[in-house]
Amino acid sequence: MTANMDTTSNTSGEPTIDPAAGPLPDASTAAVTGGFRASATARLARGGLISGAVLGVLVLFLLVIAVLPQLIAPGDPTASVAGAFTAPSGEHWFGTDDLGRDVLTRVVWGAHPILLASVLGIAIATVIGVLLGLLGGMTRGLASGLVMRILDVMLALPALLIALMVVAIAGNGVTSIVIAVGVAYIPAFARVVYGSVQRLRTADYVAAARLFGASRSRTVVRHLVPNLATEIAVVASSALGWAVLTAATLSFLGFGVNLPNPDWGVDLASGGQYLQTAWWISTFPGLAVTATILLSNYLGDYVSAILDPRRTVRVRRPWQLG
Amino acid sequence: MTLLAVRDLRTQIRRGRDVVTPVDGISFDIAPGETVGLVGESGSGKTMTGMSIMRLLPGAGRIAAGSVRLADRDLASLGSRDMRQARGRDVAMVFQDPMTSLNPTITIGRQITEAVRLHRNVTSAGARERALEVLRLVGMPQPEQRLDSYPHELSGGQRQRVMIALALACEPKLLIADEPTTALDVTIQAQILELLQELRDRLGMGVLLITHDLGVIAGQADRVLVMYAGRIVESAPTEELFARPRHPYTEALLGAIPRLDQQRHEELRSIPGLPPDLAHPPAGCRFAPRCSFATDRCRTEDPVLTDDPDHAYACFHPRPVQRSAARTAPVTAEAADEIADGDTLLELTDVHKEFPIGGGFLRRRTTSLKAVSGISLTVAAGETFALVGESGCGKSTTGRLIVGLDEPTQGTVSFAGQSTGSRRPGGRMRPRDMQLVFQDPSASLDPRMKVSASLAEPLVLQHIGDRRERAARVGEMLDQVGLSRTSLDRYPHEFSGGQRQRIGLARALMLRPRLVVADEPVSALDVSVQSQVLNLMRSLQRAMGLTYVVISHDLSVVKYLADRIGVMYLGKLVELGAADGIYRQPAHPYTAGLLDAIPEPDPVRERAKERKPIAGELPSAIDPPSGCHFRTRCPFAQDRCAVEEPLLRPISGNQFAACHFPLRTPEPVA
Amino acid sequence: MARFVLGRLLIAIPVLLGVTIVAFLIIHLIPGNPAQVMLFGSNPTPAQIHALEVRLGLDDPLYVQYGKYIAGLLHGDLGTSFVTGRSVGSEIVARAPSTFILSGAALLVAIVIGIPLGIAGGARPGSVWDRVGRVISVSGVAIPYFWLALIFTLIFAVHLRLLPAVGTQGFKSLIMPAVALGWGYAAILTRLVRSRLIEEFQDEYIKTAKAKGCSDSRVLFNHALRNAIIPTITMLGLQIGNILTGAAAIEVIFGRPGLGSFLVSSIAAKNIPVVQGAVLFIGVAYVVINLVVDVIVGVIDPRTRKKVTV
Repeated sequence: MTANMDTTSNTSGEPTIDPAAGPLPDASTAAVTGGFRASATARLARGGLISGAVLGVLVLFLLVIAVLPQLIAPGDPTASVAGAFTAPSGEHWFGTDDLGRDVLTRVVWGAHPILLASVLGIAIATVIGVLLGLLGGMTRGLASGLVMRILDVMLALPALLIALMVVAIAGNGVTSIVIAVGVAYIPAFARVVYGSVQRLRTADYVAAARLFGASRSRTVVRHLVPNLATEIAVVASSALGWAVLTAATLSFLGFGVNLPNPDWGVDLASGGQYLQTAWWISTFPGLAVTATILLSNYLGDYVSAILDPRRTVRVRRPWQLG
Repeated sequence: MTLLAVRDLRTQIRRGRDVVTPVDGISFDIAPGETVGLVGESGSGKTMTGMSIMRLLPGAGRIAAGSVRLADRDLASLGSRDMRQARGRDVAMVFQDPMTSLNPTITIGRQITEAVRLHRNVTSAGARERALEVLRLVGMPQPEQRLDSYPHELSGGQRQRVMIALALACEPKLLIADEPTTALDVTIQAQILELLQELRDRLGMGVLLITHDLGVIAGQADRVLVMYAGRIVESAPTEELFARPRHPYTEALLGAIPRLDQQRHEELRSIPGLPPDLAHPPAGCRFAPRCSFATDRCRTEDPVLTDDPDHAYACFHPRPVQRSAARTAPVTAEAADEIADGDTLLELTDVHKEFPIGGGFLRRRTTSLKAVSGISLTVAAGETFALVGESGCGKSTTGRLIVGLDEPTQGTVSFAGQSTGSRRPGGRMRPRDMQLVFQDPSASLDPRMKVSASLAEPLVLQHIGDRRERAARVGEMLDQVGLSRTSLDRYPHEFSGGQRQRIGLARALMLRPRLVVADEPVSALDVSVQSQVLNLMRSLQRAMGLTYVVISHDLSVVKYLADRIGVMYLGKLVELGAADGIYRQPAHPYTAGLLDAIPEPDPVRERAKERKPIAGELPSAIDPPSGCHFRTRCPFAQDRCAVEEPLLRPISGNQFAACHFPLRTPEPVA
Repeated sequence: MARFVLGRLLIAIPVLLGVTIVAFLIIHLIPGNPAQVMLFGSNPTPAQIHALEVRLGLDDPLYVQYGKYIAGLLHGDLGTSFVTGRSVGSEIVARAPSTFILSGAALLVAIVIGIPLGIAGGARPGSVWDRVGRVISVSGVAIPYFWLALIFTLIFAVHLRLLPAVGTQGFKSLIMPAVALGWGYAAILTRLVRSRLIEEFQDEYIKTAKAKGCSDSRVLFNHALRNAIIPTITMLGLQIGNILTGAAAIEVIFGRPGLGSFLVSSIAAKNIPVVQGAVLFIGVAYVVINLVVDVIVGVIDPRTRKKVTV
């Protein structure tokens, strides 16, 4: 599950015994843990070169499916190509559904809505969440107070409930699922950014920059942003898996694409009605969602391993499921 | 009679593909009632020695060879069940940091009774009785109430008392104390050390005292083992070792400590380089790469510890037996002994700083923490002024107020005659004149910026020079702080603590400031590295004509650097004046107590001391005592001290003290 | 302690107010005229829309409407369902117990599976039980719970015929929904307990406990676990909201008439007062549950009691 954990363990000869009781790693420790700005190859190696390559190929494959499904499955996902409920065979690897449509073709074409919703949704959540977090963390007074109150309330509502609310407001369709996922994950990002800004604001090196006459905006650009960027990348990549699940849940509940268009969630739900006669209709979209979430999780772990070798054993922020 | 006999103990820890040997074949004995000091720097293996005796090695560690005989049993080969029973009953341990060594969610009482009930067949009432007894033994105030307290409700000193009570609950024969006072303030350290000594005598325990502090060793240990890179390099009775060190490492270590009795302007000895990586120790003598007396033989052949039980050492070229040690250090040429009486550069006038705390939305009256309450002082151009005091006295806050990182709640800070407040036109402070060197160099450098970028940043921000000129200045500055130019392309974490502090200094000096505030500049460093940085600070001062304000809890460091000092207690200056005068004849009882509490690396003086450590602990800065803040801990306090606040007044010449009953009679002002 | 509880209550009040604002705003955020939204599907004439606006006070300023909304809430009035014309409050109250039972059972599943596996993995990383825990945590996080519900149905209802595929009759009908819903949280819990334990084991106080002669199991249960469980409880509290909402998909699959399926069908039917009521109900339940969790943590962890000042 974890890409490469032993790089983070700190097993220098002695535990901290510095005179001032500060956990200041000595030279040997630093040499062991390796820097997070070692060469690019070293950084990739930290995540595992081979797993990185495999991961890259898989992600690329998924992107191709999402953007150009016709390359993999040239058929029309809405066309009836055989009798209903044909079991998986050499001709129809994943079988056919209740209307005689090829399940494989539908699974390939069905990737688009959920991947779009989760990737775009996380992008929206990142941008707005980071802005809100910065606003709350960097400013004082009314703006900051208002932002924090809004976040408090958003955090008091479960992510899936927020998503459902957005769907209730914006109506059905892929666009509203994108927005729903985006809004639902805003508080997670805002909270992480807010916390980091609070911590970084009091960091000695930020104080040092002030002493050299750095303005607030300059400090933000030179010191806060690079340090935040890593953290945001880690959160974003690990939130992706949850976003896939949220998007799939919404479309499973019928708020996504309109029939007869293919979509993993919708097909899962409709296949659920034929469990007794044709298990394959729901099983393959289910597998597709599972594989996507797995891949997102590995990607998240890999990104954290590359960007932040000093992280502790907590691999993923276990915050929302749903 | 021997209580503990360690023979050829070797401990190994797996570290990735390497095997590290932090303890490499050491042997020593401890007799009942004896304190053996184990001294060494970070990474010398001294803590791992203690953990090996306790068999509490980290998961990847194991005892590879040797024996640890305690009384008549070999702990190294004991079954895990028997070893578990031996822990706490036969051998106990006190750890460095009392803040993290107690379980935060269990009451003190339950933590002690657990130890009692693990080893003694007693009822819970009996265990509680015993817990109360040991809490009394360690001098815990109000022990009955304390039983039901949680660790976070206690001060650091009290927690360390609890740790000791916990260790002694079952009257072990051997106590291992690993840096037991390192995390504590000097007055509390004195209390705890005295307690340990008293308990040792009363219970007849053997004590293994592990520390980096030669001062603590000098006052506490009967015998000393000096450890370097996993080996014992010298072993002798304490007075013998301090008087006649034979191993060059011991000698250098002794020379590296700033001492209270040292002449000013005497350079400190420093040891070049860093200890070796114990995964790949050098062939031959492990100290050879850093030793100025090393020969080819040292680099190829491994010296063994001599057999002499009275004074053993592992060196082919032992230092001659003379009392030469620390005194041979070269005296610098220009020893201008008078205090620089340049123009006033910095002036603080009645500076206050309060931090509001609490202040929930229902509480009308917010309380505040009075970090600094009314400080006035001046610093002349070219001098070194030191602010000393224990943690929580407000010295660091004062430093931040001086450079303008915080704004005073009241009062003014002026630099070269001009107020530095932000209300001044122009807004920001003048970065070119004043700089701060931070305590923790690893936190004050952006971990994502290369050294070259960190050093150039001040120039960039001030629009000084073009790219090439900046690079040139960065290079020059690296030369000045003694770092090679290959450092430029590296990141802060690739350096050792001492090197990072050099980078911190270099960056602070990039804009050629006139005043540098150094907040605990060496407290995070090992002794040998500390002396390198202190010497560097002094030479930079001469070279660049700097004025220093040094903030430190360590009076020995201050003695080495400062021309004048100000002693702070609970947000106020209690004594101010020329360093020499204050060290020779302190006027304020707090200063006197502070000086008295410092463990000096001189066993003769340490033992001759008639100690009366300052009692009690620092009161809260939220609600300080009325009148004189120090009166609650002062042996001379009288009724007047509670009512009337003493003001800083001249005692003699340029020495001032804020005390109604100073230890020196004030001379009439001429 | 009373002060601590009071403090927490006072902190919760603005959050609860915020939740009411959110619920209130739903209807106004929907594009178009609220009255038009309410008459969804009935092709209303402008006159009909206007009549409804006047009747419901939708022509009042927003703050007046919010005031009326709050006044209604204080009298237990959550509005009227467009579909059935019945009080939203009573519809929700009728369905809530089913959802609470399902969520409670799912929570129990998560705890019963997750905590022991987390302890086993954290105490001995790399052991067999740690590997079992990893399989569960990987599968639990990756397999969507609604697909898991379908797989369970396929295996236990269709093929083995051990458990009913739908319905709410008896304990047996609860097993599959609860396990399907709880599985993912078991995974999260396993991971959290494991990593917290590993972190606790690095702490200094563990050395102290060992140095006094505690056995390994004593160090684990009396010291490390005691501290590791504190963030675990907090996390569980935070996850309860997701469990309550996630129940929706499970209720739809197993045909359980609960709050979640009610919310989903109401969203589909644009039955906005029900959506508002359900959001409010779940939001308030979530805040209250976390209040209770905070108090429990306060009892276990003496440090948190000090932090809250009012």
